[in-house]
Amino acid sequence: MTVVENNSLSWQDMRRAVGRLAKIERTYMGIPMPIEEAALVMTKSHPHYKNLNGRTTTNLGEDLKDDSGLELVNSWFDRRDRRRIYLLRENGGRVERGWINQGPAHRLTSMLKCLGASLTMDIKAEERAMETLSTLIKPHLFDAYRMLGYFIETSKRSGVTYLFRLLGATIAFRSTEDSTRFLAALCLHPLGYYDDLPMGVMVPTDDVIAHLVMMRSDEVMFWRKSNQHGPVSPGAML
Amino acid sequence: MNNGDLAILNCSDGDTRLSFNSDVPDEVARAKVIVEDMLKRGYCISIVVGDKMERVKAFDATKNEYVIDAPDPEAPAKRRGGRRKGVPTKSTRAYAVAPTAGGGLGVRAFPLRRSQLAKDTR
Repeated sequence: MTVVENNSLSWQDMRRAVGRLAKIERTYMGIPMPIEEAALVMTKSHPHYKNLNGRTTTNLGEDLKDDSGLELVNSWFDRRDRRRIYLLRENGGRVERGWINQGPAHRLTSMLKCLGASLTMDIKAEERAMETLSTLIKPHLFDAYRMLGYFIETSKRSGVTYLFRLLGATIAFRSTEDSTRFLAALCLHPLGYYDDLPMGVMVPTDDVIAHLVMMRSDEVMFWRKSNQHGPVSPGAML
Repeated sequence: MNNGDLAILNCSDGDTRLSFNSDVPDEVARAKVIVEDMLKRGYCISIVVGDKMERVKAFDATKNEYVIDAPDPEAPAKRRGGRRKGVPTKSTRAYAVAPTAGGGLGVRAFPLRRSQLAKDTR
């Protein structure tokens, strides 16, 4: 958080300034704030896509050039060793293999990085989002969400049941009297998210509202736009 | 109540409310500009219709209505789309979700550096 400390600005000051800018520009979705811990991944239709996509507080304003000479050939999750394997081609020549461990340490690191990302968000925004959510679901489900951080709803169209979670992909499953069958963990963030973190740029409950509203109004689009993770993938967070 | 009410999910403020009086042409015209701009940018605008939610396809300022797809339940499954239906903005709750950036937990969105990867030391 060195940028903030050196300029004697609090995160609250920055949030307010960016919020004011969004209002002046009439950017209805708001302007997300970069953090030091993870790069922003933005939707291309945001007016500041070019200035913010791929940025952290340390490379803000710099020209983002990929000069590594490495081209991604393929990547997959290795269930046994809980790591993501990457095949990279170096300067158009030999393919090299490497990996990033995605075990418990990776999860812990993600959680710590989320603490940093939460500084960009206003608790009042989360409270407003909670208020909105309370108008969308039944009181006992809202109580469950406040207590546990998740609630379920079954789609009237498809019969698929969804477990909507705070800071986690929505779990889609089919449940019968005899069994429960996992279908997918659906990961989706409106506007943008912080790379390799479970956190979007909107307050966590806004992400939950987005999943719920999209599921109810256009379930096919919700599945199509989501990144679909399997049960053991780190993205499923199960 | 003659107000249209649109909750826009916003990363700075939580949600921003856009309320407009459906009987005032200027306010409806302003709402039309905003809603059409949002649809053009890829927002998912959903409205509550009865006990269901439907995705808005367009905004008709002359009739002051949200336009949604209205599949004919009698038609064969493959031909159900295509019909449009207007829903008055009066007393209709609407939610606007910004275009999505997908979600990539576990998969890096940006080019990797060699230093980020572990390798066999054998």
